[in-house]
Amino acid sequence: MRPPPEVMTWATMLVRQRMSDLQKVQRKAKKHWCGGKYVHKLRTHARRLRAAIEDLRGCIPNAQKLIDESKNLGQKTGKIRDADVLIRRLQRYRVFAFAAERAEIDALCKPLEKQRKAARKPAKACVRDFHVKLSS
Amino acid sequence: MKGRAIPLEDVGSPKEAMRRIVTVRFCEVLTQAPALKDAKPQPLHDLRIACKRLRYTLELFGDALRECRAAERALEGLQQLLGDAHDCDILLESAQRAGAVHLAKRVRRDRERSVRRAQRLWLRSIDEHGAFASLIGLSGIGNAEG
Repeated sequence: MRPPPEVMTWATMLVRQRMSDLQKVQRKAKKHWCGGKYVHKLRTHARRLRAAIEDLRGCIPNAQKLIDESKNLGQKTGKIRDADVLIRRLQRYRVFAFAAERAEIDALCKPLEKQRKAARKPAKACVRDFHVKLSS
Repeated sequence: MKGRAIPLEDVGSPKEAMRRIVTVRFCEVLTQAPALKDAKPQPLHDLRIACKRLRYTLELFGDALRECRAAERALEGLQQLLGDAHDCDILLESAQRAGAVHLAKRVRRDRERSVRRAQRLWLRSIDEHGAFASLIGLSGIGNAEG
């Protein structure tokens, strides 16, 4: 059993809006790819889309496929974002750190920078190939 | 933490659907809220996810739920503070593994501060006249109908 047409139309319109917002950011990310700049925005919009579909799952025909695709985008770009967040925090600590602590921070930053660098290529490919479509 | 599936087959209108979705998502937040007491990493993380999910739901319905703006802002604050605590948990693990004792001490202090601020914000929001009053009213939680 499906919800009434009025609810279906309303739900589809909300999800379409979320998809359009995500596609706008994706276009920008593809055009000006430079690592972290658009990654955060893109991940946020992918999460918003996923949340909308999960809320309105009963009204969206290919809900699971869309959820999986936006989840995949989040996972593929997650390592860059995680590394960025931790590096930023460590750099903030470094300003007030004394010598011994600064050495600890530098030692932790190195593998994170490596992680960020290694994650760039698969993330870029995922952003390029990402495509979501509502089935009718 | 996975969000609950919400059946919408029997709702009569978008307004009714909105009310049901918000109620379920708000209940998920309330269920996870005791995590603030013990402040253990995984339950706090689950609470953050529940707050984020509810916030996105309120944003999705936008102007139709104008009375929930204060709740949206409070959820954003909670999400930020719990996110800080989560970042500290990840960093703390790395610092401990690397034997970075000075850094671990600083991170632990930061974590405690974020958790304390989140606890205070929660108590203010859940108060009778707090930011969540609109959610309590909308969902009917706490009255005979709810």
